Amino acid sequence: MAAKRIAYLMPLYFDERSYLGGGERYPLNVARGVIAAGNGEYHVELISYGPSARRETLQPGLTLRVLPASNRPADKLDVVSWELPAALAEADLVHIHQAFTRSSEAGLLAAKQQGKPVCVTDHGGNSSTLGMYLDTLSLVDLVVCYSRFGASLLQTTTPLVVIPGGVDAARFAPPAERPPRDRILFVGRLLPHKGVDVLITALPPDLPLTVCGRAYDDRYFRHLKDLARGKHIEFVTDADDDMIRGLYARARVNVLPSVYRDCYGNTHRAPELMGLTLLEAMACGTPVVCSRVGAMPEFVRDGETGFVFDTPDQLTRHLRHLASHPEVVERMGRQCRDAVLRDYDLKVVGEKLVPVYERLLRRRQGVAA
Amino acid sequence: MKVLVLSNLYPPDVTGGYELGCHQVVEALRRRGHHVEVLTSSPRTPVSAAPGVQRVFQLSDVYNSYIMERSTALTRKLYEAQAKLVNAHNCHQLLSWAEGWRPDVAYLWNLIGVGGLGLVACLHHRGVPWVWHLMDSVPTDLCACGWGPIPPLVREFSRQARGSYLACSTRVLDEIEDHGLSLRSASEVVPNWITGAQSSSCRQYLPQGKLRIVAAGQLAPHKGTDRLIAAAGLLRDRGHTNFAVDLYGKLNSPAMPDLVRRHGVEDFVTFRGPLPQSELVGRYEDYDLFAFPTWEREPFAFAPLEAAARGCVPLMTADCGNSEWFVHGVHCLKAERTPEAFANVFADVLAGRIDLEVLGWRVRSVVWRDYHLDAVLPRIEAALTRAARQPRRAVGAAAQAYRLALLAEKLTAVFLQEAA
Repeated sequence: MAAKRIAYLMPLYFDERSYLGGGERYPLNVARGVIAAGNGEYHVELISYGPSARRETLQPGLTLRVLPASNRPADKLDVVSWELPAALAEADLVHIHQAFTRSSEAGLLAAKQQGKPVCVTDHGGNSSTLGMYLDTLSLVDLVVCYSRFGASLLQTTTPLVVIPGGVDAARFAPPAERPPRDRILFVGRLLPHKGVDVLITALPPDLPLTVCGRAYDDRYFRHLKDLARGKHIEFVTDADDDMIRGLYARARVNVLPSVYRDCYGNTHRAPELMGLTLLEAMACGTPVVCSRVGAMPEFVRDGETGFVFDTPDQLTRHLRHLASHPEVVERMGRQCRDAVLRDYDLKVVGEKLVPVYERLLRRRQGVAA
Repeated sequence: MKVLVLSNLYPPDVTGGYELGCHQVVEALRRRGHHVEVLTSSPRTPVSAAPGVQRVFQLSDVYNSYIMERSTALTRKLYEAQAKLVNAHNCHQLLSWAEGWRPDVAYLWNLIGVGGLGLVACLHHRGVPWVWHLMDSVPTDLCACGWGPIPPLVREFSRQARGSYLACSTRVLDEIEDHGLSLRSASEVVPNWITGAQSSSCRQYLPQGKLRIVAAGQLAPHKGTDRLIAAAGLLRDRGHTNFAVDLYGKLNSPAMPDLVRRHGVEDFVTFRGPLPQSELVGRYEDYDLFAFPTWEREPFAFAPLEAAARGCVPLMTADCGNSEWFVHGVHCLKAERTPEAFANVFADVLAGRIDLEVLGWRVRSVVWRDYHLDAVLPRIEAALTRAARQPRRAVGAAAQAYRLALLAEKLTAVFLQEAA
């Protein structure tokens, strides 16, 4: 029997040539989970955009297809291609990543016009309000969320399912021999809504911190470097996955201090729909601390796998506590790994998603018959 | 059979033979007992209401050159996109009619101006089978915005369109396919037609040796009016004076009268203005030749056919759409599209080297026998019936189709504005 073809449409893909963010890593991970859970019955094609067309096999059953972009939008999420309808034509089901972008609107139009079953996952990108205005979510067969918080943001009558997680626990795993844990860690894009400034300000002066992530905002990066003066802070802006795994291994704790209101006064409706780097750290057996923002508290079990803070003072206290209690760090780290394997690994997500896809595909076959 | 006809214009609001032909077929289908509703655009000037004609579409009148020429490039593109790609209002109207009236088949005509691609997409979405009557390269034109067809759009149309086509000539099909649209397997060539009853009048040719030449329709360079005027000049230069060229149609600019003056043929060429079609066809009996130096991409004009039915022999561009239906020297005369070639034929007729009477008799007979709507209609009816019997498969609900049309319309506008 021919493999069922699932198209994952995303404006950007997880690669240096495109963009390195959780919203891009997530579809890649979930695709791997679906392939693992599907026992060879699924072929997932990641469809995204670039300066020219190309197609490459990432692993058996998983391809990346880059379509030539037809426009040069101000926001990268608004990219489209003339080749999109033909690319989606080959799919049995289309899973659109990002709900409110020009890319997703064009994808939805092309897919539904061809009668494809469509599900959508919102990753917080908000470059176009056209879809909200026209309630395009009502065109979708199913909304797939990875957090209850994310689901609560979507006002829609379309059926919705929450499947939390999507981390690659095989790629992000505790080291065979753990080096000494000697630092606080932040991993994520260096953007104002990530609240890295809050962490730097709350950091006790005697504790070292590594801030790891791409500096996608020059002004904010300069601000962070100013704040870091006089503290033990190292910035790593070009790390690959191997390096990030090494940092997780050496960290006492990984902190994600995202904010609803950033240091420039801008508000963010959905700063974290999951916080994938929290799950990556947990998968590596490293405890986590997060702000009580967005979906993060759904993933951090306060006192068990880490801590959730409301104020910078609380953050400071949690950091001091973990720095002075290595046995707590080790215990929490083990519990983190267990939680990921049980609930958040991409294989777990794949096993939950495959029956969802099956229902949509069966319903489509029913309509066709 | 319940037939839902879609046409950008409908008589009495017309630009040419396409809409008149549509009207004739609609009336003929009704006479054959079919239930036919027409969806068309609100008229450009007031007309009386007619039963079975719903003037509910919005028309983006891209044919209005005065307005188009005075629009900014962006306005023009937006207007054109709404005329050709999608007009959500028109999609809503179509979907409402398709839901309420439940046609067996949709019969498409010229859809430029009413967002034709969107209408076709709505029919697909609701699983309504369709037959498209092509008297021009309408599908290609619908896939064009600005300078020419957009290749990816042409490709998508070819891939997704699931209807059948009646084309008035292979020239139309060739032209469409030259731009990458693949219709051939779903198409059938059906000629244009005449209507009415045959008169039994015995007509005369070249009375007192005078050659009476007529042309009717759009008086424009693409129809060859300028070449015909030049041919009259050449004929006069060769010493012939016993001829007249009468031009029927609306003059939209002084260019053609200026040309007549420049060639000094005011005594031979006369602009007789537009006439109602019923009156015009009667006049053809008073002419010997219908001169038609039209452009090669002429699909199949009605006027030469109507003239031929009155024994007025067509002289036409050798490789236009009309010419593929008639044999040179048997039913008609064909010439290169040059003033010289047309002047040569005129001179041959005047010199008696061509017998118009024989040609006129033959073409008149063949047109009444094979090109009358009564002869053509069974083929149209059969195509509609075949389409109506196809299994239907709706992709989604009408509300979904409308929301997609809205999304398409707004995305198109945004993309055009961002690209400007």
